[in-house]
Amino acid sequence: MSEKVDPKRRKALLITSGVMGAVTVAGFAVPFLSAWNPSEKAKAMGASVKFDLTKLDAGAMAVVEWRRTPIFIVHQTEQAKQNLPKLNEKMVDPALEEGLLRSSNDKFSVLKGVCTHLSCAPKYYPEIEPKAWDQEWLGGFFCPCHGSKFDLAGRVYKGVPAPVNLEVPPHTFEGDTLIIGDAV
Amino acid sequence: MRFLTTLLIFITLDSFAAGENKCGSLEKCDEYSATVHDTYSLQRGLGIYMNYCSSCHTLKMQRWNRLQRDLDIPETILLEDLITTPDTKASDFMSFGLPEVSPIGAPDLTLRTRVRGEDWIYTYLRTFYNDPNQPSGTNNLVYEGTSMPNVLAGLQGSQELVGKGKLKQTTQGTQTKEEFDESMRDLVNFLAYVAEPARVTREKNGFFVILFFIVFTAVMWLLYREYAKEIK
Amino acid sequence: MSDKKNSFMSWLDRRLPVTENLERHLTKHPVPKKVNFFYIFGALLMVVFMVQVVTGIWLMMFYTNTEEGAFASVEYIMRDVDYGWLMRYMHSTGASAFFLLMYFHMFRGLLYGSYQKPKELVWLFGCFLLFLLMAEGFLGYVLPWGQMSYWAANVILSLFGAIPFIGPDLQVWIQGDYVLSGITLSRFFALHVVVVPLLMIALVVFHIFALHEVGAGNPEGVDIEKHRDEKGMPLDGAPFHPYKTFSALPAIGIFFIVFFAIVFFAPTGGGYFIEKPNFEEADFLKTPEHIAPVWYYAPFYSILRAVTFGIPFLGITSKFLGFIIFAASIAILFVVPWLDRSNVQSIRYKGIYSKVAMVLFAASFVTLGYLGTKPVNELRTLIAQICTVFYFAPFILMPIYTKYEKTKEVPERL
Repeated sequence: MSEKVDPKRRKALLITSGVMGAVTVAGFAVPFLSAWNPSEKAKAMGASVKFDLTKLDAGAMAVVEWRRTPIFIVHQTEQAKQNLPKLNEKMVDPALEEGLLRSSNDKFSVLKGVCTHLSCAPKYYPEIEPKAWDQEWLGGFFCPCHGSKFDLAGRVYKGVPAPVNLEVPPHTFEGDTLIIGDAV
Repeated sequence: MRFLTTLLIFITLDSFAAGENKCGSLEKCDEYSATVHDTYSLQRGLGIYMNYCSSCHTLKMQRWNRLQRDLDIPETILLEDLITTPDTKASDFMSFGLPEVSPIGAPDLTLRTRVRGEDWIYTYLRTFYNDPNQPSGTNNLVYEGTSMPNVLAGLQGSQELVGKGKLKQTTQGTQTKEEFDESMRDLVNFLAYVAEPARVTREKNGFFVILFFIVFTAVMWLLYREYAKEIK
Repeated sequence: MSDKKNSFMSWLDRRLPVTENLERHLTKHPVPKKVNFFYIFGALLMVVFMVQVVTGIWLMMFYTNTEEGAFASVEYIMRDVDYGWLMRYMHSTGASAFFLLMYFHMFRGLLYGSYQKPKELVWLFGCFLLFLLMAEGFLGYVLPWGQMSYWAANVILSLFGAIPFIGPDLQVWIQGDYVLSGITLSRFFALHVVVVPLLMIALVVFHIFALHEVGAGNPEGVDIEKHRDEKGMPLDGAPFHPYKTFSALPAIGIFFIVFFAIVFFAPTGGGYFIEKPNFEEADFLKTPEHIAPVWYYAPFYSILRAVTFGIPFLGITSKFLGFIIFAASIAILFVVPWLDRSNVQSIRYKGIYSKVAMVLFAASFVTLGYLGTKPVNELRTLIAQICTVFYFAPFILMPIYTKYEKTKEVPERL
């Protein structure tokens, strides 16, 4: 009953229990913070999407939905492939390191259909003819909202509101199948 | 005092009261509590499920990819051998292409072991017997008049009712009695896993959480003792 | 450094009385030096309340409060949300823990006279909290929209329908529909997550403020305020912090050991915490074979069922009388401070009648609880009726036996 108070022991115990308390709080935090990660349902809805490339003729474009974003798949014509290098000078970022079509394939370009200016959906104008917005139009995307121009590989022209090229979503080609999103 | 003793005796006797643990026409179900930690058993259970259950019953809350992860199933086997319906993605539910509401009244089995209990399912699966009065030709000791046919007869052989709650095997199946019981345990294990996939992690990690709080209590007890000295 | 801190605190205290209130309610608040384990449940109740609030908020993020979506969203939480199963089991186990601790906490109050003058309000706020907790538990049990949710709610709601004249209309008004439906579910959700918890928080604050005004009791029933040292600190008292706070910590540890043992290894509590039929979605065409309330309502449910007779000449049906006696079993707790005429607080110094009464009450409560989870038969109904009498008798006779029984003299000091 008349034990003496040992300040050293008391301090050691205070520190130990303080650490225990901190570990407890951190331990409780883990499940609660993890619960905010994408759930299995979100992951299932955001899973990769397959696209059969044989359905797409040269010069045509298909729109596929992936993670609630339109994905443009363009089957480039031979002419378009010849024209693309001519536009390098007019581009903000010619992105030559990404390859001619900015994809790992020599026929198809895969682009997120979201204008990098203010997130409108750019329109596909593959024709090579003078347009109201460009007398020397060689085909590409034009955003009706604020007039941004992109070529067929999604590269942005100089002198338009959009600052950077259209984004390329993660994708892989497996024979005639295009997989958009991370591999399964 | 006498009142208390009476109450105590009553509760003790009452808790063994006959009839309330009844398992259909049986006095009680055969005891079995599933384990979800034997992956091979779960895989065997999945095999039985695919062969004998999946043509009528769905598992519409269980995702294929969760199953693949938890049961260590190689992707090629999942995509080529297990998912047999076209257009089914790995992240889809295990509904086997069956309609949302079963036309033949077969219930969804995802949560069945939690509704009925593992004992019940284990006993039910093993107590089918021939009964010409039933439309399906078979009846069950646990669930009399069940509309489920005895799909497992090929494994178990068929049984006849001899006296109340007693069955006798009349024809041989491909498995011996012991093998068949083992198969049914695998199947119940699998169904218990499907009913609560988190059970695997829950039972594995719970031990560490409790161990942590034992240490926590010990340290806090020492701290309390250190301060309690002063006020005694 | 300490100067800076002090000047900051004085700046703050000038505008918001932080230090004063911390000292009054936490650091310097005097509590009796010697209490027993019965005095820890208040602290544990605070812990459980916090667990319920936090897990509840997280569950609310994933739950869907519609007839079509509710059941599926609970399974979504159990399967698809990271650690969702942990949140759900902590919340369901927490509900049981809340009631268990509450019952011990209140029984402590009955044993050691924690309701006696001047603590009447502390006790009253506590009784209101019990009432709110019962409402909260009931509302919450409906939300998973399983078979037991649906049918148990049907049983309780039909009780309102038993009230003469206004009953049927009242029941429809509460349900917002002619049957229990998704409309009812949505309003129960709002009540469960906002209205009742807010009231509970307010009452907990009142409960504690009132307690700190009159001072915590002790098992001896000694008034520690009588003898003080020169600084005004009661001689038998010690400051709340560190003595009370540090004594609560190992208790919290033990509580979490038991709590997590259940959460991780027996989350359904053998069908007593989460009942088997509740893993099946509500089906208004199919009643489960045996409708049992969750264990914490079982004593009161037993009382309800024990009333198998009405008062025909007053037009009172057995159903309505059951409802009245059921309500009275909770209401009678509110008036206990005015039923006890004893000149001592603690059971330790009360006479033999008080002791017998408490034992009878506790035994009846436990027996009623046991019976409430079982299907009825004749013998059980009879026992439940006897236990109902012994549940009420200690309270109804309290003014008589506490006044006339011989009490022992209470010591001056702890």
